Amino acid sequence: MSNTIKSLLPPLHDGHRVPAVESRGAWQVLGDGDLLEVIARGLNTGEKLQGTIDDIVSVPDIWAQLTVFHNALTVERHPLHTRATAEWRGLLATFALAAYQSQPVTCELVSLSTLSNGRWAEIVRRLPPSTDLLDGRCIDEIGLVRAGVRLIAFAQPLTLLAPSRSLPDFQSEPPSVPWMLNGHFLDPLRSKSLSPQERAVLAHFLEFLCNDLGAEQAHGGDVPVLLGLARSYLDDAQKLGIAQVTQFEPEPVRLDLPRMPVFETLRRRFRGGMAGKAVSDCLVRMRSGLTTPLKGVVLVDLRIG
Amino acid sequence: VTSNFLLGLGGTGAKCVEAFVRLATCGVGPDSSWIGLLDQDRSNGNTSRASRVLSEYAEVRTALRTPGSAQLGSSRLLSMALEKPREGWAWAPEERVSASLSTSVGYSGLPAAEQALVEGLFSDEERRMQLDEGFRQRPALGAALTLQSVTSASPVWKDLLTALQSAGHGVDVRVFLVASIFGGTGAAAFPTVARLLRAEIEQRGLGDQVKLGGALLLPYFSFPPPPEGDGPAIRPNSAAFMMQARGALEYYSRLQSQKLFDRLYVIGNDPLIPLRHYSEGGATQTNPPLLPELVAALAAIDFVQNRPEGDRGTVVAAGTGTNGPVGWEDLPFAGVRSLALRAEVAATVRMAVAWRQLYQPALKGEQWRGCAREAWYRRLLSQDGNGAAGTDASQGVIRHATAVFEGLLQWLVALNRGGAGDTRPLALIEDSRLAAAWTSSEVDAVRLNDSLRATAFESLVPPNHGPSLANVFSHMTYGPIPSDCQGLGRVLAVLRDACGSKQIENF
Repeated sequence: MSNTIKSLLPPLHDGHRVPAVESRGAWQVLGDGDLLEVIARGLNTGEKLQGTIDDIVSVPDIWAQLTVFHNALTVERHPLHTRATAEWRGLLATFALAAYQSQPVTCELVSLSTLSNGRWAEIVRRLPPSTDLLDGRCIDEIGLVRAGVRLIAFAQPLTLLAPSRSLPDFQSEPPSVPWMLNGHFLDPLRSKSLSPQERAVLAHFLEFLCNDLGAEQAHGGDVPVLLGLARSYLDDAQKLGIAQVTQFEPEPVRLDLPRMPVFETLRRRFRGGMAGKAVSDCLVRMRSGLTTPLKGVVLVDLRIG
Repeated sequence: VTSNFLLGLGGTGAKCVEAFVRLATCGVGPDSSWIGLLDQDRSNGNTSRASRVLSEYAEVRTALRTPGSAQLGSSRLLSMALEKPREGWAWAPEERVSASLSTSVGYSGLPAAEQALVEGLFSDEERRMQLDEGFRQRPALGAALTLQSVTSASPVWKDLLTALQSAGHGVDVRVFLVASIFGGTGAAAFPTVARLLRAEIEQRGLGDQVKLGGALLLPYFSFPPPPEGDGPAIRPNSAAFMMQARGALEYYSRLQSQKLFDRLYVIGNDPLIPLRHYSEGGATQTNPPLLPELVAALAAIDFVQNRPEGDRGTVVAAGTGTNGPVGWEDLPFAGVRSLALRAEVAATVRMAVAWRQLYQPALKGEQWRGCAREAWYRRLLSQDGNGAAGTDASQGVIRHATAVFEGLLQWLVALNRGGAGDTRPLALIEDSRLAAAWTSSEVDAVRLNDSLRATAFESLVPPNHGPSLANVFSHMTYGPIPSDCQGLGRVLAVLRDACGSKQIENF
């Protein structure tokens, strides 16, 4: 009977692409760093578990909150990709639609290299993540994004925005924005509270973002991926229908963001001018041809009231 | 000063270090090595056990390899010189009892912006988690405290930097780290220490002189779910291992693409080996030895002893045959040399049994007087003085050697009984001949049989037969005596020679 070889690796699912070990009794070179990703994708994680996992806590890096979010956002097959994309969209909308929200969005810039000496400062500046937007250099400037007094996100060149790990600790408090649930940002395009006018403002903001990211494409790596995500966001917003905004009125804003051109978009804050037209998902015009003094009806949900 | 450095990180790293030391007892491995353990949970049963094994090895080796007293000479037995870290075998990133991340970094006294950074990176629960029993599957926390403690002032780091200094003087240095990808301390420290070391290596321009290797244990065991009821908010959960391992591997992929390790050995087991007991850490976390840990020890030996060359940044793995039990020929030991591995271990196992059964009882206490006129005793011990075996020093050596050899046998029995799970037997030794049934997960609870039939002795290490006890006795009485041995070292060296397979043909 032939003696086939079984790799000394964890359970892998059918169809994995991990190269076979060809002989026993010896070490065999299977690849380089990319092989680890092949093994990661080949692990038999079980469908049941895959659907229920709500966090990756196994990344041994103090910046894991950023690096896990970055992986989840930029790798489509990542088990948390859908959630990360929704959170990223939610965070971008928080900036785009800040003019429509009651809680002021602010940003305080921190430079790791100039933090005062101390244990925590030593820890955070020792092995910060590197990023393609800085051509592989480590990040130094980080924006602490707050809604009201609550820290909600980091503005940084790895993913532009990433949620704070402590957000779920405040889930008993009223959410900072309507597209937030249980301490997680949601995709605002799935939020019924977003009006066509707000979608138009969001789309306008995303056009700027696409332009700014497009200008940075030469960096390669993750930058085209982020651009793809932004374009897809813009497409989805437009597909849902946006109001015919006649004018985007800029609002003055002072945000202390990392000093890189790509963050300029986050400093753009608009209100959509409708030139006297009212636009709402709840407002239905009367069918033409009806003889009535009414111009339309407003749908009211008493349960909301 | 050695040029080989082995650092076992966390509980799994400690178990791999134990396997490395067990092999060193048998004469397998490099001639010298510095070995350290890093575990936040120093009370962890696996880590304290490894510390004990290291101490026992160091003690008996000193006793048997000190010029002027008992001397093993050129025997492979206990040949590896062991260097101890300046501050003891085990080191914890955060030494304070009942510390948490918050207390450790002085969270409440930080400026507001730095407090916000802590909040953004760690949840409230994580910030307040007590760390006296490890990092409880939160390696990001472990990474924070490892970074905090690995400074130019920390003792273990000083030892490792000394290694780099020797490299600066032309020595080819090998540093090997071993840990599991899941869990807390080991998972946290493995890439963190590696990244810090790599940064030092690059900064000093020593990439050609210092090679950094690692064995990363991917999921290879499972344990029962935590019991219901009170317990820490964050608890080990084996069901999530695979998913968490996937997340961590993606992170490692990026690091290794930047060629963090010169050579990275990845090891797992399919199916996962089910452990019987759940433990939240501390002294109760003591698991039986498992095959992947032995394989990780062989990876360390491959890296520091065989010194494989090749492109920096490679990832290597091994495999076993699928037919029948896992045997010696399945173990990765430089190809056909797995037979050499078997030969070294087999000779030491037989020696340990013969020592325990025949020679130690004959030399212990005042018993030596009863055999002082026998030919083997006169040949091997009389030249050191008539009462050579009766001195306090000799009796101390007998006690230490017995403890080390019994520990080796217990460990091998435990490994062979369930080291690859219930569905995959191991055939490294005939464990049923050595010990009674064993149902505990404690290696120390393995009860060794007091006596072994002569035929059983010959077939202790499959598949080949070794010498009989009569052959061994003949060798002790008439066989060659190495000239560089002395006292009880001479007895043990000749006994181990006698227990080698080649002695079958000689007698």
